[in-house]
Amino acid sequence: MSTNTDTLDIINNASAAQGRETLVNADGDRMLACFLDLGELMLRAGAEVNRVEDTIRRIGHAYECRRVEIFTINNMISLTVITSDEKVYTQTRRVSVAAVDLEKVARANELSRQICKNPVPLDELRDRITDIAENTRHYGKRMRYIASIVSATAFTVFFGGNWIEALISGAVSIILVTCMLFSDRLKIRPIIAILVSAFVMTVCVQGVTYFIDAAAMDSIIMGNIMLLIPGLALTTSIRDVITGDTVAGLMGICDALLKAFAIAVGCVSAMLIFR
Amino acid sequence: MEYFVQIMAAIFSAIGFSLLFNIHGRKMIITAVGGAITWGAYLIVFTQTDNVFLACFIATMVIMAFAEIMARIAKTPVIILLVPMLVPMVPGGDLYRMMINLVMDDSDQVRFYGYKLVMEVGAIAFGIIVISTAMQLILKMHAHIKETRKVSKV
Repeated sequence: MSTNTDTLDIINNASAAQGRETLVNADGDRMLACFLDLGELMLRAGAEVNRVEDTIRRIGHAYECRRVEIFTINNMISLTVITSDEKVYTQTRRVSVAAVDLEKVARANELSRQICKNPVPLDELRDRITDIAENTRHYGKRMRYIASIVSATAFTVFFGGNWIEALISGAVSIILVTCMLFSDRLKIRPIIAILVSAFVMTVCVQGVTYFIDAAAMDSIIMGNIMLLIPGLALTTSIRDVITGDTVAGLMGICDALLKAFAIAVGCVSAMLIFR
Repeated sequence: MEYFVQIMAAIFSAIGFSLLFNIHGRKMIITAVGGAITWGAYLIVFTQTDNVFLACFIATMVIMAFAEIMARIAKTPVIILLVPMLVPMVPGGDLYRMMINLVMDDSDQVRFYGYKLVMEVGAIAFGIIVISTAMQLILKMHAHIKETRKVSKV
């Protein structure tokens, strides 16, 4: 991060004379593409709609746009900018779902904070957005497994499971995550992925508890369900509704409820089959 | 002892979810502490009043306030801290109990747990709404006071 700020300073000093000039005369379409890249990145990583709109609006004003008209819902951004020389540019971007990555949101937030203080040339901005998109540190696949095992085990204990149930829960969560990762690779829609994963998980739990008398399936399934429940979507959507983005918020709440319903369908059908 | 185990489990679940959501370093420690606070607040209210709605509501308000404060200290978006800390409150247990009773064909129990589920989600939403609104009011008033001071100075 420190190297980034250093280069930023150097460029600022170098282009101090013509800095404003380049900003004003920057190619509008490229500028919009940059803004939308940032917005898309934030939206995909799980930011609230309001945060995306606010960030782009601020950056737009930092780049001396006279008006920034942005409308965002959970899977689309529409942006129209009127520059200081009265030119109008419009672009829309359809945003597809992606893995939640809150570190990206934090970095994008940091970037917009810096940009608003002192705007950098467009190329620099684009480089820094690509840097966030590609070089944000990740925990990697192994860590995702470990995280799921920790969460599922903890939740099983949380719901009153004994230690055998906790162990089984950890083991089952490996299967659950494998399911989710595999459906990611097949590009299955999330709702179907959740349904299938819940089904597979419940079947596994029922199989295991059939053979092990000391373990009841209740707390194991509860622990693993918690991994599937769309807590993030629900929280962001409620916050969206309050901040005035009713459409986006309702979309998100609907989506979260459908996902919860998908979990129920997956689990119940597995239970009915192996009753 | 049972409560202690539950709080420890809440801490670990918060850590697990911050790993899943790719949260690093200091922020992860904050979420772990927050997980403990969430469930601690829930348990305190629940043991005192025996009221699930109130317990969920107050615990959510406490954790929202904590998230808003810590977000300003750590200079990071609120949502990042809030979600992993709220995770222990998510009523997955009642969703499951509703489903299993659905399978067992016990409609009284289904209705009971369905009602409880709706109430818990509603309480969480209420809590988020109250604190978000309060926060917006405070921020707007702060800005307003600053503005009027500037004007009066000129």
